[in-house]
Amino acid sequence: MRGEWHARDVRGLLDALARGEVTPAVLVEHFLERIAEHDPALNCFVTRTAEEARRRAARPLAGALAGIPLAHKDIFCTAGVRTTCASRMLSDFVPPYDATVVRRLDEAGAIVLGKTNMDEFAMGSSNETSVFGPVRNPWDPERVPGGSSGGSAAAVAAGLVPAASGTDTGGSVRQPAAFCGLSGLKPTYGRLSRYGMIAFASSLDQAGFLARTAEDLARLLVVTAGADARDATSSPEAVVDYPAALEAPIRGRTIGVVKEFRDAGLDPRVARLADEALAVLERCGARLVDVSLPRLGLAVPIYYILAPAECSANLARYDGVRYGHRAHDVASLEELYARSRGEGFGPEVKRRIMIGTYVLSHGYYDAYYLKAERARALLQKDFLRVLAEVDVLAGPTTPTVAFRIGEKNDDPLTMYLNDIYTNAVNLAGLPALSIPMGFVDGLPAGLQLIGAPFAEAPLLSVAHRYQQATEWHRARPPRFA
Amino acid sequence: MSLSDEDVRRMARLARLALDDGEVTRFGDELGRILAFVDALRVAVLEEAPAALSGPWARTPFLRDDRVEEAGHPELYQAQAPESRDGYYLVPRVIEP
Repeated sequence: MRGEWHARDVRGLLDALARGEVTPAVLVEHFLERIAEHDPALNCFVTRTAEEARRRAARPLAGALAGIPLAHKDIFCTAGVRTTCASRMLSDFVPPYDATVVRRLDEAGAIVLGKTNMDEFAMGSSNETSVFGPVRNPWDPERVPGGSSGGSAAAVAAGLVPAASGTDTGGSVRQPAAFCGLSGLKPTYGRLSRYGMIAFASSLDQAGFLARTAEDLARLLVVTAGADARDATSSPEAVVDYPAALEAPIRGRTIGVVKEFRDAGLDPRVARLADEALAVLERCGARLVDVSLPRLGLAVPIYYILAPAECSANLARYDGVRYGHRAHDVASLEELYARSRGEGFGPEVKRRIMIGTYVLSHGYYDAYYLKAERARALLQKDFLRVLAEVDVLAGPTTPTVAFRIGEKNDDPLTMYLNDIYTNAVNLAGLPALSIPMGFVDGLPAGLQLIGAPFAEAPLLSVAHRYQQATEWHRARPPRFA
Repeated sequence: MSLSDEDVRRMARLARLALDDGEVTRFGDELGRILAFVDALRVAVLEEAPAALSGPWARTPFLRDDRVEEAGHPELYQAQAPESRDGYYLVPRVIEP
């Protein structure tokens, strides 16, 4: 059967398991072989958990995802398994507990094959800030897979696992999904517990998933969503049977086409694909409505004040005392802190800590931080106003397809602008996903759909209907077919 | 626009971040450009709005009863410490003898 299982999505593998055509042990060996064969060229995995996966596959498994191999972004704490956040700071950190997302997938019967590479502390849009080196895009190894969940995206795209977890603070699930030709979901803020997910910007961080199809995303979401006593910001909002809601009719749904998603450096070829995708949705029965979010242009400035501010506060915990990297030969406690942090963090993390410290410092707090919080509230109001009139908002996920490794390294601002369509969604706390909508010069592009708070079900069902009418999500990078 | 070396060093001190001279120069330039970019917001005229300081949803985070729900495992957590002894975390001396 070699050469077949990695071509199936989660749904296809569950069907095969249910019919007894394959066992979890066979799937685990198949995907471990794929990882051994292809990961050296891609650099998706930071840690492999082959032996634990084999032991688990040998035991009886129950649950909605019983026997499905998965990978976790190396930002999720895994009990007894090194969790690095792709940082020198945490290169030896072995958490004594599991993140809630990890635990719930475990309870659903999934089998973890390893932890995936990422931008350091999830700060980056290209996976180039990882202390383990860049991940390569399976569609073109000279290009980035996107970030920060780049290892998870490249691993799923190359068929090394059928699905993987990610996190999305400003686009870190959706942008790599777009760059790698996958479906990627960022749920509503609070839909999934953040317990055990190493914090970057706590009011923006949300766990999500990368998979082939919207249907697979629904299956991952339904077993992980819901309140968690260990995360006071997780929501008690009722969990919907997302897989069952997929077949809801698209006829009569209204899709808001956001005017401002056409501004700011949008590649005309990506724009054309978005137009074609919208036309498909219209043919499926949706009604397209033009809408405007006049303050969208402020989203990136707001984001690059608030996210670094929260980052500088969250990362203050890494002091070389309780866990993480510690500098040697220091004369004072002050020097221990400063040198441990100076040695443990890479350039992008330091840059963001510095920006955050600046905007929170005396004399600048009101002008930057408080103003950004006010603007954030207004931006959210704009989103909620248009989402009261339409069911879903649509536009391209990114202004361009995947760029070359090294292309944007010299200019952090150019890199930041790559997230121009995704940042705003985190600021507003909304659910959004990216699905494949075609290719530009052989590289995938993504369509972003944005929904009202906790309206993941209609979002997934519109995406599912689109995937029933198109074949883009079935495309595989030729060298990993 | 570029931040002065002095500004960068002051931020680094506040952030407890040791930087070498090359980093000070580079961050001065980069942070200057990033701050010039986010200035679009600083100068924007906004209607009055309350700052959303508690996260995207106005909901009050739920509270738990103040009672112990699981046994503490200090040894598990302290096993992660770079240097510890007898249940204490070791740091350089902070009070001169």
